[in-house]
Amino acid sequence: MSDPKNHGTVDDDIDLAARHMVEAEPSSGFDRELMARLRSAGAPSGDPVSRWGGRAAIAALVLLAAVAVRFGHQAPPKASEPSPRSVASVDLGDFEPLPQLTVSRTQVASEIDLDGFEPVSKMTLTHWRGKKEGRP
Amino acid sequence: MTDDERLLLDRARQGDAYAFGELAVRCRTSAFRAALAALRSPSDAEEATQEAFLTAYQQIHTFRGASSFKTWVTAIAWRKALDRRDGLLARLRRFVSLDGVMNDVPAAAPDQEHLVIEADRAVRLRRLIDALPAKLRDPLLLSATGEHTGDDIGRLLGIPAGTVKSRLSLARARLKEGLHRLGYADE
Repeated sequence: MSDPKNHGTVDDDIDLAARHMVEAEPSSGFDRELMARLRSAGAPSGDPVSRWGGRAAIAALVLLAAVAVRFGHQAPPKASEPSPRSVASVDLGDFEPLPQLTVSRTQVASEIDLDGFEPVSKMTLTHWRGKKEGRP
Repeated sequence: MTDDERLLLDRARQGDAYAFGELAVRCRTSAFRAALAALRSPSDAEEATQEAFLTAYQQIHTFRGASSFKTWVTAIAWRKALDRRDGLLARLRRFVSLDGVMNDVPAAAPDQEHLVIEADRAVRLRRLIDALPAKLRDPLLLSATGEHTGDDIGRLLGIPAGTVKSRLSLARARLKEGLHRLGYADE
């Protein structure tokens, strides 16, 4: 689109130079590459109305499922049975709580008798049943 | 829009990549030349055009036929090319200052005038076009593709057709001034 009022030799040269810069065609592999990209891109994402309709349907299903879980029949909670390992009993028959116990830092002493203790240089634990009583 | 084009569009909307490919073949030159006008590099322009067609395919449900498919895709290619150009310029600016590189062309010494031949004049003219500010270069090159009317260019650039015309005149004036500085007498 050249300006007819200002057309002369220089304008012709300008038109020619500008055309040289943009009058080109895509390369021969353009169509092949585009088709490969289109195929790998998958189908178009669809009409927004139907897309949002689909999302609304999914949301409604999720909501229905949540309501069914909330108000549906529920079995009474089953009392959990402790595993054998967690059973512990403490006999508090003779226990009498102290009215008040005061321990100051200087009154506390710890004593560990280490007579006859020999450090084990190497120990291999081959089997452990998991019971405290039978622990080696 | 022709019946044939409408049929291809319907099939493309249903996910027929081959129908879309047929539409793409019909307007790839227009889209590619618009991208080339912005980017000045055929490989970059080709990549921008590929991206434009992919976007068009993915968003084809948004095309309502208010303009032709070619105009729609060319506008997408133009925007992709501008995004790419902005990215390229931003990366380039990290390394060099473009002040004076993009807008100024050094004046030739007077004694060069007699050495310059016609082919050299064309090369220099292309350099001058490259050195124009984008707001003058873009309408000039889009116009040179021969693919767009003044109204089309105005829509692509987001300016009125009258402004396109005035920018074209200003671009020509700048180029003539540049040629004059390089020692070429007005003919």
